[in-house]
Amino acid sequence: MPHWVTVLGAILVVAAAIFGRNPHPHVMWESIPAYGAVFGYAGARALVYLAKTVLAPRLRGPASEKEA
Amino acid sequence: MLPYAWILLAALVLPFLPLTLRRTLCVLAPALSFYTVATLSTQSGVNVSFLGYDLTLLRVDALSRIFGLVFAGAATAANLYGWHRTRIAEQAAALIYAGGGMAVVFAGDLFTMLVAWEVMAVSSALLVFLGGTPGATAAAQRYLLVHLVAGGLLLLGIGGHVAANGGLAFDAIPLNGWPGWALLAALCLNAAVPPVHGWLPDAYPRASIASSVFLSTFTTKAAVYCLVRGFAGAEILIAIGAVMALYGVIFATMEDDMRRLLSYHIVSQVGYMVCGVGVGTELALNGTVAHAVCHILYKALLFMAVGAVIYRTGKQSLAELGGLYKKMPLTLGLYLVGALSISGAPLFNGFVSKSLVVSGAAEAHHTLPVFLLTLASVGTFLSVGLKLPYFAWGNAKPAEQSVQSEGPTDLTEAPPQMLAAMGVLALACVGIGIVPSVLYSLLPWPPVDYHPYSSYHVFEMLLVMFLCAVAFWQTRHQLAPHLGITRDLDQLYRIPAAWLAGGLSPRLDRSADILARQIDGFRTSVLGWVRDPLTRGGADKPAFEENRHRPPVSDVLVGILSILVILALSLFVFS
Repeated sequence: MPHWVTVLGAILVVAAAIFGRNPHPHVMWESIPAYGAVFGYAGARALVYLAKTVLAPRLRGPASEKEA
Repeated sequence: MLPYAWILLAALVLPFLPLTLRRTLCVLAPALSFYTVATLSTQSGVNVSFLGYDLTLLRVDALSRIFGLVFAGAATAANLYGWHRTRIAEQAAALIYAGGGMAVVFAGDLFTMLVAWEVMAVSSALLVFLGGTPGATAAAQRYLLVHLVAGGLLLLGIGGHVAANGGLAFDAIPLNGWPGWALLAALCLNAAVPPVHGWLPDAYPRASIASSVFLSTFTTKAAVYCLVRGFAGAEILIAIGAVMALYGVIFATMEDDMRRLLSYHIVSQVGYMVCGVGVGTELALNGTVAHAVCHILYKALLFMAVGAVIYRTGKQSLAELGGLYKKMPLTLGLYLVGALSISGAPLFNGFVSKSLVVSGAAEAHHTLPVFLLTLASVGTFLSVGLKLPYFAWGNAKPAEQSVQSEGPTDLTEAPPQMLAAMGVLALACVGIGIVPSVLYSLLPWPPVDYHPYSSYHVFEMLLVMFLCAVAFWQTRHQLAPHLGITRDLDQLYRIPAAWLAGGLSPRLDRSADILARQIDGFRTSVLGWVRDPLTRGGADKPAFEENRHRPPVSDVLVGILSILVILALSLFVFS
């Protein structure tokens, strides 16, 4: 991962924590600063794990419909 | 004038025109319909009397008008994209499908809606069938059977509703008896709600590239329209929609066929809309309608872009593609507009529509659905915004070598008419994203007191997308595509059905054979009697040609089912 990506990410998280607060949160996590970062990273990792590690080996069929 | 009449009339005269005129008419007819809808005043309508019932062929209100506008606009762009098509059947079926979709949204009564729906079902099945491959034929048969079941449920529900309430008006339908539930089940089947969603990723990728664009536009969104019209506030739809949204992205993350991947995202995005219908507040319903409009625009754009890749390379699995960014940069740019729109990136239309639905659910304190919908938006960006473009246009080694060594040597940018159609839709996606008031002013429950560009909301989406991209980069090797199919819940009924058909097939074949012989014998003797009444055709009776007159088993089944549907329709509605 290039360093500029890490720097940009850090700037974005800090900016979101300062300026990105929801003044009228309707669900509990909206009051957590920069919660979008958790959703984005943990959500994506969880989806990849669920789809590619848990489900894909069990649901992967033959190379083509004809062979099924 | 009925706005969809232009499209249906064009489909009727199409077979008598030369190719260039046909192509021009395919673009002009829906454009004329768009103009007609745009100039219609709300509250206008067309009523006819039929067997003692008042049927409303045209009901114009804000809800039907916005759907009519986007249907006609999308059909115009799709026909421009499909300029290269030469087959009359494909061009006519696409027009009839579009006309049927518009007839559904302008229908003011349940009978007109049912007839228009069946027109849409048959013409869309024909579009799949015209994909021309054995896989397309089989998928079209499955598609038709599923939609005949949906049509039967629709008919049953309408019959029961008319018997219970005594009217055909298509307004809010109560869920206090079986007719309402039958209608809801039929609409859920057409909206591709899991576990009865298998027909969608099965059929849409097998149609031709232009037909896929049409298919992605009409059926599921017409179902969403009917849900908004009839079942707003049905709470069961909140859970169904939230599960749908996540289910679609999980399977899209596994999928390596580009058009199947996008098809699973139809399931996911329609989940947002179904959830919004269930929430039932004005904000959520406006969000549902806005998201349906935006989804039609960006999904058509995405199907067009991957269709252009398939048109040029002949390949649709990500495992066989890669490195196309040098050869098809414009297509990549236009694809990315669609991908950022569906991902809900700021300045694109998905940002201003998806947040309406999620905010509607949040304001109604549906915490778990909001969590699932937000997670689904992460998965959307992961698979459509990152995985698909990375493995199709990026990832130059070694997939680029496979495309360039095995594919066509003159691999170039998409044809101009395809780029033009994609450009129009991309402009609409960006235009609505930058100036959302254009869309909000057309929504059915004004005024829309919602401002998507708050610093909180913009930062939320930027963070979600940025950290999702980081996670993608770290897991890109896990996401690498492999050739192969992914089993879905449709296997639960396809495998038993195939086993059952295997056992019944010889008997059905024999029955069909006997039936065909009887019909042919009858026809021959009638013709002979007409030609030569004295000998009653016995002298020169032609020999029976076994295979010439024997219809396939599927045709016989479909024919019988159609007759049953028509008979049941007559019994329920007109008895």
